[in-house]
Amino acid sequence: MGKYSLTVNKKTHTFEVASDTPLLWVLRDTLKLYGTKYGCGIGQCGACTVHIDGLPYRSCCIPIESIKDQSIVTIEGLSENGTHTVQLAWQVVDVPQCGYCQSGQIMTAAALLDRIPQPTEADINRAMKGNICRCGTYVRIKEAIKLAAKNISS
Amino acid sequence: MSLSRRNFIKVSAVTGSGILFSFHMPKAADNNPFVFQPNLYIKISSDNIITLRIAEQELGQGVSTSLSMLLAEELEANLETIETEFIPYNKNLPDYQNEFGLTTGGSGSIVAKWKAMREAGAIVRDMLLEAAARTWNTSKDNCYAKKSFIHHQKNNKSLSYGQLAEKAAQLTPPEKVVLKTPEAYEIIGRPTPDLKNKFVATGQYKYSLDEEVPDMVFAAIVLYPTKDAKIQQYNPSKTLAIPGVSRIVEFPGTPKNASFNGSEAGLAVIADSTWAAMKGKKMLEDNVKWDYGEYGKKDMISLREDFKQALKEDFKERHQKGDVDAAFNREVTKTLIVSYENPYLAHGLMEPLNTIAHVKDNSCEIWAGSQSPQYTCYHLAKILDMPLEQFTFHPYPSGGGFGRRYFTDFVTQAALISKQIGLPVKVTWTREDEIQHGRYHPFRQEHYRGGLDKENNLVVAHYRGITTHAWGAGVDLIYHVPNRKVEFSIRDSPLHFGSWRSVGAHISAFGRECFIDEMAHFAKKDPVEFRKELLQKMLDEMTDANDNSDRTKFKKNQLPRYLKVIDTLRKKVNWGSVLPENEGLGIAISDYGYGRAFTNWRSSVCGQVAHVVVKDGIWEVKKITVVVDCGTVVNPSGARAQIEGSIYWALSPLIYPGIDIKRGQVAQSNFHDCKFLRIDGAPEIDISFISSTDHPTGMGETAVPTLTPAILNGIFNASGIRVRNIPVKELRYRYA
Ligand code: FES
Ligand code: FES
Repeated sequence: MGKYSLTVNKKTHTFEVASDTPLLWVLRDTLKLYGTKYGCGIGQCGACTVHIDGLPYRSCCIPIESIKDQSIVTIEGLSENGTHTVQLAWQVVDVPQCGYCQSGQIMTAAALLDRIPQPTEADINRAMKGNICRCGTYVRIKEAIKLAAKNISS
Repeated sequence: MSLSRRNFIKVSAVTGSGILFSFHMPKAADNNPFVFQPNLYIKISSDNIITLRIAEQELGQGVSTSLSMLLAEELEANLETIETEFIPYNKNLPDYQNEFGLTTGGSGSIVAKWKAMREAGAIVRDMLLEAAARTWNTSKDNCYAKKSFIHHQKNNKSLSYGQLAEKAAQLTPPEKVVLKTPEAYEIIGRPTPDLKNKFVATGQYKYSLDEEVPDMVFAAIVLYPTKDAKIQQYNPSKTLAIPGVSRIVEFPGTPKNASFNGSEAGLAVIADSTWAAMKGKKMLEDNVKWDYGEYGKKDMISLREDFKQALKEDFKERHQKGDVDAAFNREVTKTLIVSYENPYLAHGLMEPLNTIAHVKDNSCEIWAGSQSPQYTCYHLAKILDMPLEQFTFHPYPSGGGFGRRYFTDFVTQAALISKQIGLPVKVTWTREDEIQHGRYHPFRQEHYRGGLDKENNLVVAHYRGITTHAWGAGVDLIYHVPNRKVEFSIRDSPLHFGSWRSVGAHISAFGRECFIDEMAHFAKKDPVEFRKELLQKMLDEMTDANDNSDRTKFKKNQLPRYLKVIDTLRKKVNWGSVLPENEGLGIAISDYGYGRAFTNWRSSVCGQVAHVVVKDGIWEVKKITVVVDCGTVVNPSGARAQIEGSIYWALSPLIYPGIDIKRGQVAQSNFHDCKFLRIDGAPEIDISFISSTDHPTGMGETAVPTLTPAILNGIFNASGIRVRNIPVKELRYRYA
């Protein structure tokens, strides 16, 4: 057990958990931020993707003890009122089916567009292939990323 | 007494499907602000919010949105302001005592509610019109409804549904309503983004895994590894030493004596967090000594041996016509013998199974995403020996259903654990549990023998299917063959069987559509022409049969739909045009579901053409072209999503190995070795619907069955390589 303090979505929390607890379970069980999902626990599906200092990470594979003074953003904190370009594009293109994988998809896509505002098809495939969607929303994910990119440029 | 407490049990709209929308107040409501609740399913509050309470389960098929659209169409409601909520299953729900009440599966929700939901909307709209007319001292004819308001024809007056709610609640529902004709639809047929999208996009959409209840503890489970495994011994000490782990409980298995019940026995690690429970589970797994039982000796090799043995034993007959043996002996000049194999397949539900259960002395409360809350309670009541009245099931959206969540095992286990510890418990399956304790698509081999006469007519077909479960055993040949026989044999399976998106249709269509394609090539005929000719002949046979059986009625309606789908598809892909070297088109058709009187004996029909490139030992899908006849398309955006999802669903088993069995257990454990399609493997899809105003016939599974045969037929046309077992091992898949 250890005492930790963590900045998530600009708010700092202090709590006590086992030091090997993955960030995913701290977010969900301790901080009750349930938007970040558990899918595989081994870094294979991307459902648990969050931003750490602006980069996408698999929160299921990051023990809390390894996080030092970093700023974490989850789907709940991606934008003030759910108005991030990616969040909006996702709704317009009607991407979600069951929705379960989608916070991970959106976090990965948002990080991609931060890095490459006008991604090519190959960029999209490379960035998004770590995120599984069993409902098969892949065509729409591509379309929504392209729409978001267009909205960024205009 | 508040007016809303009046019971209106005065009218009920009975739909063709037999679903009853009785218009009465289910129970007294607290009316501040006033809520007009004309029946269990619809609420209109004074702030003009319309709530649709639905008993169907949201699995990602978009049922909340499409049902809201049906309601809004006739209610003339503003779709954007409709909120949906899921009705808890308890004794207040109609038909609660039935084993199969409202389960969500078989792509049947819209099929079942198509009429009832619109009628309900029309009835409530009529009551609101009447309320407005009385307020304005005029006749209903002078009023019209639009976007959740009633307007006066003659002046600028208008009142919101919310403002009229109190008055409407005093009225008697009309006996009869007239529904709109299709030309008047404003919402049905309009591509509509799912109403839940904004919640999903902000991480607010709540699954049962995201729920918590007071005093809840957490559990992870170690399930018995084979069907007849026993524990020899286990050492709990290291598990209990993990901080946060409080205890280990053993829970019994429950018998399988109905289609979807039965659950494995296991050990549960109880802890104060999910992580502690999962760590405890891992530790415990390393400290259990199992007796793997007889099933522990089984693997895919022994199962294949058993399938070989089956060929020497008797088969059960499902269908026969003419004289197969005589035809082979006398008429046939060329015989084709081919076999296809379909592996066990897992669901890989994105949200691992989970349940919160709280069992007390005289109550059982469940929070879970399930396709069958009512069915689950029905069977759980027997296991817990508790009257059904004492159950409440809070349904949650599921992170994928696909047939897996029809099964009661994961809820049953949670209830048995809660019963022992006397606390509410959240049981979370790990991904490993989900892959290894699934309800699998059956393993199946199909042996086809077809014979051509000297004019190259298909005169005989003999089918022998060997499978590990009765669902989908045998095949509906759909094509006309004068002498035909369909037989099957069911062998014992080391793994539990399940319904996998499109259930039996997936396996049936695979073999049949490849076989008919092979026969076409064998007869030196075009696969499209060959199919059309045999479908037409079948239609003639059915017309001549002139009996009034349900099957004949169904076939007589379906066959013309097949023909239309094929023709549309043929034109779309320019079938027969010359393609570049190494490229080929493959076609397949199938229906999903069965005909019923209220759908005018129709079910959804799907045709697909796969445009495949085979080069340097690699196969690539350029495009999948899909044509679907599913009757009226309620929400084209949702319907397309179902087709896209179905195609990608069916593509995974063509690329990646199915479930392997070692020592009676699933050999794979997580997404690294049980692989599923990712974005870089997802080809382009071109979808069109046959324009139709018929009764909808379902969309969730229709496009699954045809993909495998379309692709395998396409690979053949591109390369001459005939693949008969999936995944495709002869070639490598090309990713983007
Ligand atoms: S849950 Fe973290 S990658 Fe799957
Ligand atoms: S939307 Fe269901 S898993 Fe992606």
